[in-house]
Amino acid sequence: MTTLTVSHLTKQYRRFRALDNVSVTLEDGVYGLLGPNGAGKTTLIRTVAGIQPPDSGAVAWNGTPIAQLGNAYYDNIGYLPQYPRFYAHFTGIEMMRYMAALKGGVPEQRITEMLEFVNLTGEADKKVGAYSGGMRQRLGIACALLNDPKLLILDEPTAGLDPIERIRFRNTLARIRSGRIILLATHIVPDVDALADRILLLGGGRLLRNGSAGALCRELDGQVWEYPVSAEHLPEILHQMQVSSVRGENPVTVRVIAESAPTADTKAVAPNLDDVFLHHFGGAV
Amino acid sequence: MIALIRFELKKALGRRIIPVILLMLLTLNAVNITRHHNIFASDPMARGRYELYCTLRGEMTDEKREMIGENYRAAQLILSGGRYDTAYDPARYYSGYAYGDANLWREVQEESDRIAAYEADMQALSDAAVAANENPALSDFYRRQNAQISAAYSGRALHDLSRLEGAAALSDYRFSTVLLILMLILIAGNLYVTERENGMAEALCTARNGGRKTAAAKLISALLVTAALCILFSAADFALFMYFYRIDGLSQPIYAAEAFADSPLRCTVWQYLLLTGATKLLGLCVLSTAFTALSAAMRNAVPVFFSAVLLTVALMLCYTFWNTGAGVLLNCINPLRLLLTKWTAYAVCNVAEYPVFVPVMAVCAGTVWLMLNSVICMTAGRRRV
Repeated sequence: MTTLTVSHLTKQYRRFRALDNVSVTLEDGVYGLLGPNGAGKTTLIRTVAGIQPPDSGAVAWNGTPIAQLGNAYYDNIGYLPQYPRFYAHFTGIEMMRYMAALKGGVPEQRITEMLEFVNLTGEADKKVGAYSGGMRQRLGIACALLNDPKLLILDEPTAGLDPIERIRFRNTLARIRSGRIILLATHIVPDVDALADRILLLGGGRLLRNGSAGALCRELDGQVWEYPVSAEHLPEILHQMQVSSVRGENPVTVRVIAESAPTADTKAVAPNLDDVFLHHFGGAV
Repeated sequence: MIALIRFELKKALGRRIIPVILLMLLTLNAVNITRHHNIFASDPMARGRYELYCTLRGEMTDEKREMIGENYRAAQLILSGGRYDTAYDPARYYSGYAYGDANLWREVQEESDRIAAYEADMQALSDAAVAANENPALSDFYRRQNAQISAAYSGRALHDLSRLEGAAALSDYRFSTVLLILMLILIAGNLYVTERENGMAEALCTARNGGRKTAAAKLISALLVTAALCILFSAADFALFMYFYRIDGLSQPIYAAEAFADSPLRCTVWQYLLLTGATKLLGLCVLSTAFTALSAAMRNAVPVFFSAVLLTVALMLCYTFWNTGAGVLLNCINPLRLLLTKWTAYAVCNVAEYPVFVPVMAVCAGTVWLMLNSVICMTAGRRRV
């Protein structure tokens, strides 16, 4: 069992505080780092990955600060950056060999295994510039897994992917989840819902919540309502209340978040992660 | 490490645009040489001079001197009389014209006189330097300088008549150097920027060999690319000049060329070409490591390109205008001096009362610059994003 401990991390960019005293301990499992744009997700994972130092606080790997571990820490990390473009004139297999040379000590057999694992064996000799977005993400996963890392960090891995590629990505992640810490930074709620054992809700640089999807949803029990409204009143409802979904034509059924029932014919419904996201980050939408 | 260097070279040179630009620049260089340094193209005097020297080249015997003198006197009669054949007759005249040949024979006579007088002139210079050292009030610097002059110029003699303008023209040729610098800005200036633009900078930062080893690999690949391009362009220049301009007298001493008569060097022409090629390579390595350092310091390709161009222009302006007083010493450490130095005259700097040849100062300074730039590249490249 490996442990990643984040203690009182703070990071400031001029007048903007990207991380504000964030502390969390991660063990084996998939952690969804969920938050809106500008919440501090990328800053947190870059600090955890050792790419940038924090202004204060520390990150420890199995109890040892990563600053002391040096290169030994990087032997345990696999990192998939946001929108990896790689080198367009490299072929897939050349890109893998280059990453293997960067990570050091990766046998050729591991390269072919990883290409097979992400189903890119047939495209290995094609230029990366000709790859689709989904293929590039799969190549990125294969590169990140080359050194069999105990800590896998994925920054917005499904951004820009079509639904089929996103499902394929989730299936790939499900196959590799055991025996490692996977930190998945995203603002796409369904991905987190499908994959994460625990969710770290990050907003304004602060860790707002740390719990399973079920636990976070239960916090909103009795605060999520559905009721019909006429199309003419819909703009007013959208302006005044936190509306998480609208369906139907006339009347439309709105799903709102409120502490008490908005109308007499309102029905309480089970909260989902979209509701949780809206409750913490939405305001009036 | 070898694998990392190989991949860095592939990153730098593997983009499709690079061989296209390289081919364009080589073609542009070839066109420039064929248009402006082609003795067979348009200038009948250049072609005539070449053919005349082909006839006369070799050891300057008394018979040859006499033959040259006779033709020269006949030519003077033509020029002073004012009456001569103006028709174009390449079968009869080397230049195709009587007046052109008259000037050619005058040139050959002047060269013959120069060859005859050279040994005595140089010995007189050497003797004067030795005599000057008898002055007890002379400073250590001037005493050492005179000893250096005496050693450099004594015992020199010219025995052969050679056409060395080809080698001199090749030595003066700068267009390919400008193209080389442009190529290096495009390649070396992109070594780090490409990582950020391709989203690979963070992947490098999280890999064991993505720091110091990658920085070293980038530095080595920049130097290898510089050496390869320098050799390619130099070989192309030599081959094109050899074909279109003709380069003769490679085994002659460099001071046999009139432009290099006062050169303190005692090497042959081909050794001189290799020497200037080596100093040019050092200067280009200094520039390419500077461009690499700019790439490590900046985030995008456009500011790197403009900064590199501005740096080169600034160095050129300093080289052009700092040519008096303290500017001479400052220009000794200007890396562009390594690209432009010609060893045509005796020029020294006073370094702690020792006369040091200016090109030697430039080489020492260039070596220091190269090491400094390398340290900057390694430090900037190791920095985490």
